[in-house]
Amino acid sequence: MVEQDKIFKKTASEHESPIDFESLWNQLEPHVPSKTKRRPIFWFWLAGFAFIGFSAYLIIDPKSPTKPKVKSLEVVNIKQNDQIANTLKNDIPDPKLEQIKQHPKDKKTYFNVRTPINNVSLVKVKSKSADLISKDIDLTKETKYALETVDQSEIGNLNKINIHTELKSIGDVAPLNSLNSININNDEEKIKDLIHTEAKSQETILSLPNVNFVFLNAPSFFAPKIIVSKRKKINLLFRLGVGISNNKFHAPQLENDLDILLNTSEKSLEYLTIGIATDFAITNKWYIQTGLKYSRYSTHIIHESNNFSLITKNGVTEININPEGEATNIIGAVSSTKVTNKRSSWHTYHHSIDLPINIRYLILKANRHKLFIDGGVMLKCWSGSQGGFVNQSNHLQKFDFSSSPYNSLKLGLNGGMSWEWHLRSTGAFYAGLMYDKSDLRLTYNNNIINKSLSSLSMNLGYRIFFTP
Amino acid sequence: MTETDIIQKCKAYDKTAFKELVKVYSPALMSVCMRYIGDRHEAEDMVQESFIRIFNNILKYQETGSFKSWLCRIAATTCLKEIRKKHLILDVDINEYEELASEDFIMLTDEAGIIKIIEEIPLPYRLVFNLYVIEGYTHQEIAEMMGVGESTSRSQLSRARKMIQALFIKYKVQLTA
Repeated sequence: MVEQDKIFKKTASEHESPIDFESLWNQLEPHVPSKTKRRPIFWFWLAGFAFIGFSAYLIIDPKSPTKPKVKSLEVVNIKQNDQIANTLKNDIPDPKLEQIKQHPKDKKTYFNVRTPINNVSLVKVKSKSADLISKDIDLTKETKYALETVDQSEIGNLNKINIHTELKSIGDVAPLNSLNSININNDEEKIKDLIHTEAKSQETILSLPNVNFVFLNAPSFFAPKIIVSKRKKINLLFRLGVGISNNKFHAPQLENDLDILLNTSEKSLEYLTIGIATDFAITNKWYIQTGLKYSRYSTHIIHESNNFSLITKNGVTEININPEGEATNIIGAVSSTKVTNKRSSWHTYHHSIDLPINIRYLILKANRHKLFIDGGVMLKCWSGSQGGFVNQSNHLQKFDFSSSPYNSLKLGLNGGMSWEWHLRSTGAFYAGLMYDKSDLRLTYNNNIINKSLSSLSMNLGYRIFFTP
Repeated sequence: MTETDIIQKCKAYDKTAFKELVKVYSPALMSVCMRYIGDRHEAEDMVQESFIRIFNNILKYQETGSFKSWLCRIAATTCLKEIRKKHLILDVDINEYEELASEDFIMLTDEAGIIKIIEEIPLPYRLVFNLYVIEGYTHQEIAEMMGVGESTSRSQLSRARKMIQALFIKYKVQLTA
């Protein structure tokens, strides 16, 4: 057989059939490409580079090259240990930071923390810039606080930090607003200059963070106990994803090739998902994300089968040859087998509603852009399938939700990378590339066949922030 | 113009090179299309379609394998695409071919006989036979290309071989290496 195949291959490969060249060329000539037709490729690349450039422009600060890397120090939490008199309510100064002299090559910038309020014990200093690392300062234990900076020269040149506090009260205590300037370098001349030029050069003065002071349980005699807390915001992410999916059957306990038949007959199609999620911050970089997600995997079944049927038709039943050598065909009924090749096309849809629990890690933060990686498990709340599969008898077996032979495992996996662009304080644009994996079990004739579904999808969404 | 010249000039979008390409390789591509399609008029359309695809993809040819094989593969996949597009429902009478084996009318030369035999194999079996034996695809690849199972591909190749044996007897073809 191999030798015969070689002869066929050699003969067929070398064989040429005549064709009217002139007629063929006349039809082909208009389709001959020219160099000008390559322009779309050029424009495609140009558009691609422009997109990358624009993205880089957005991620890197687009406003000014002179903008300092250290943008702000934020006092976000002040807690009072003891009670203070009501009379202090209009005279609460802010904690002050003073820079300590240090070696120029030291990459940390140290501050002394001084508080004019004896009762205030905790200051949380948080930077909005990626160049500074946030830290809590317990005033009862620490007197020195280090801000780590990427570029020592930037913090070294910094002369002034404005800290804005907004006091919010409950009951009869009136809110208080104050604006406080902290001198880092103790350079009075520079401060004066800065104050004069503050309106013109806001870029060199740090932006103003907010602090909420909440007066609770205000008694009539004692001063109210002050609990200062950062305003708690809730976030909700609405997202929609489309992607490609992959399905794989596996039946290790079966000796026949049913899984091969299933794998060759069923091809994966698109994956759709829509969901809502919320993030809970554990630290500045670690988050837990949970929510609800609806997913749909689609597959396409192409099934081909041969049907054999016996037919009778007229044909040559006998050949008579007379003495002169002339042949005469005798026509009569001839039975034969008719083979009909039938090709069927069908779709299967696997639906599920999942509760994902993911750990997210902030790997990059630049201006208003954040880049996360995340991963975790999905708890299956509900799943259902409709469609069909090719059974052991090589027949397409169709089913609906009620007769579905598929059962979903209770746990799935998902993970990916996402980018968030904080367009405003109340919302952020979300884009993510996510991988999802789920497993199903197909029960057929007391056999269990595992079906593994996976998908890679592009998700787009919007995260809203609001205070309840 | 040598094969290398044709390739290089086609990649530079030289019109005369494209004309030379068509002139040199159109008989080979016609042979491929005839093997797949069977009908001469449709095969000519497939040759034209194949050359348009070749023109548009000439830059993708890496010059690592045989250029003629690359062209023939494009022609084969073009034919296959056309056959699939038509969703041909195949009706094959196997016994008819078995009956033919008992008749004794024609004597052909080896090459002509082989080509005629290939063209006489019913369509689904001819497709698998061409793809597996002539083009050298695996059953897995054929299954993916034709949208059928691997087992279907194997069974159709087996049937094609049986028919060929019957047609050998009919046409008294003697294979010589």
